[in-house]
Amino acid sequence: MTSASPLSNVASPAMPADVAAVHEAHADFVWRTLQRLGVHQQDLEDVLQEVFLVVHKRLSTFDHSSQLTTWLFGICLRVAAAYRRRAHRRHETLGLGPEEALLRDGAADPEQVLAQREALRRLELALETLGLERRAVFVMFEIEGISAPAIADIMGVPVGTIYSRLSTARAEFTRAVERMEKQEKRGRP
Amino acid sequence: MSDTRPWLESKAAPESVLALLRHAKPPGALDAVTRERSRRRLAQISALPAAAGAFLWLKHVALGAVLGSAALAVVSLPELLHQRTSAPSPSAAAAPARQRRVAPLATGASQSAAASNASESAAPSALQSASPASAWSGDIGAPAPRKTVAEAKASVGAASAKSEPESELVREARLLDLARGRLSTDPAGALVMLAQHERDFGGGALGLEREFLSVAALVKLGRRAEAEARAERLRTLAPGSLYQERLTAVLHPTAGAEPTRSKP
Repeated sequence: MTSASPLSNVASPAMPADVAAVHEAHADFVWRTLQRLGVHQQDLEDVLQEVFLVVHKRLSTFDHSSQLTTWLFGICLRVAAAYRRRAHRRHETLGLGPEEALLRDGAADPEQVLAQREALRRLELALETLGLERRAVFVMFEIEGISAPAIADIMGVPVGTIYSRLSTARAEFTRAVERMEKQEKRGRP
Repeated sequence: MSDTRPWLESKAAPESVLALLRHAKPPGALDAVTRERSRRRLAQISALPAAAGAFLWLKHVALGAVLGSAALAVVSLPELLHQRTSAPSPSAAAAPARQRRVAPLATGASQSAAASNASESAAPSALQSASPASAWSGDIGAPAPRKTVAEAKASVGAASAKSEPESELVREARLLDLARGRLSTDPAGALVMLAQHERDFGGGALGLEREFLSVAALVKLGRRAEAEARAERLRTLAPGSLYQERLTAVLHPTAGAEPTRSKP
């Protein structure tokens, strides 16, 4: 650290200035990206810290050839993949899902709440059948309405790759939804 | 893909799929309280040796031990940061020497001249780029990363066996050029690079230029108060220099200037 420089005041001595800058500028991006990658609300804060622990360790290896958000997206993918492996086991046991957040919203109509919870549960089940990168593309394009070029910019891949992943994601998502419908018609949960 | 519009717009999906998508909510934003808590936790962990920091990142660990260790770790933080990097490099080994030798800041005019001379004489950059989606290889099947910054810096250092002050200036100028190139498209990334310049070169020969670029990046990021504060310090350090006009231009751009880039 540059203790003798009169200009060293970007961050406290406890945190390198560059890590502080990354957190300040991109914590929200990481937060949203983790949601796109399926991290549940109750786990988001811990997984956010996991990502920034990696950032802290690896920022010196970032060679600035790509955008910082693209580099961060890659870290989020890796951390979310590990989370998914853990989360599958935990949530199958505990039955948790994204609709838990809806309970805190306090919607007035119980039937509407139940319908919303069920829809979100099915949505999450269908999304979980997608690979993480395809899931991210699908969520950003279909749910958030982000354009394919913007998604390509975030992920650091060509626009054609985004459309390819989207096409596959759409097919997989549709199959997952149709499978759930068939199972329900047969009377199985 | 024939239809490039979202399904909710084109309705080109089965109704069962559309019904689910209508219930979907976009990702929520990071709230201020959680952001601040995250920042503080990161600052505390950053003050510890790497192994202890990773261990103590776990939930429910008493912060008393963390804070106590942090006080000791802060004193030796520079050495710890350099030891933590996985690839020992000449730049890392030379960093302590650079930290001890703090060059006095040049005046604005001489810095600008030094910066342009260094840029013109700079060797072609050996900084290769790693695959963007592969911070490391692994589950996502990314290709192996190409040459790292440390390896590239080592090759540049070996190739240009000139006198150390000149090579130092070339390296400074190159890093600032990279940051300058990112200002309009990735100001946060530029700020990271400028912070690295401060860490690696201290005041350096181009410290004033670094400070100016930092002000520009902060303006782009909407961090107005910080930009104004750093601009004021720069004015004090370089009174009557060209930086006065440049700071005015970047802090109070005329209509039609490039808008700040916002990310989703």
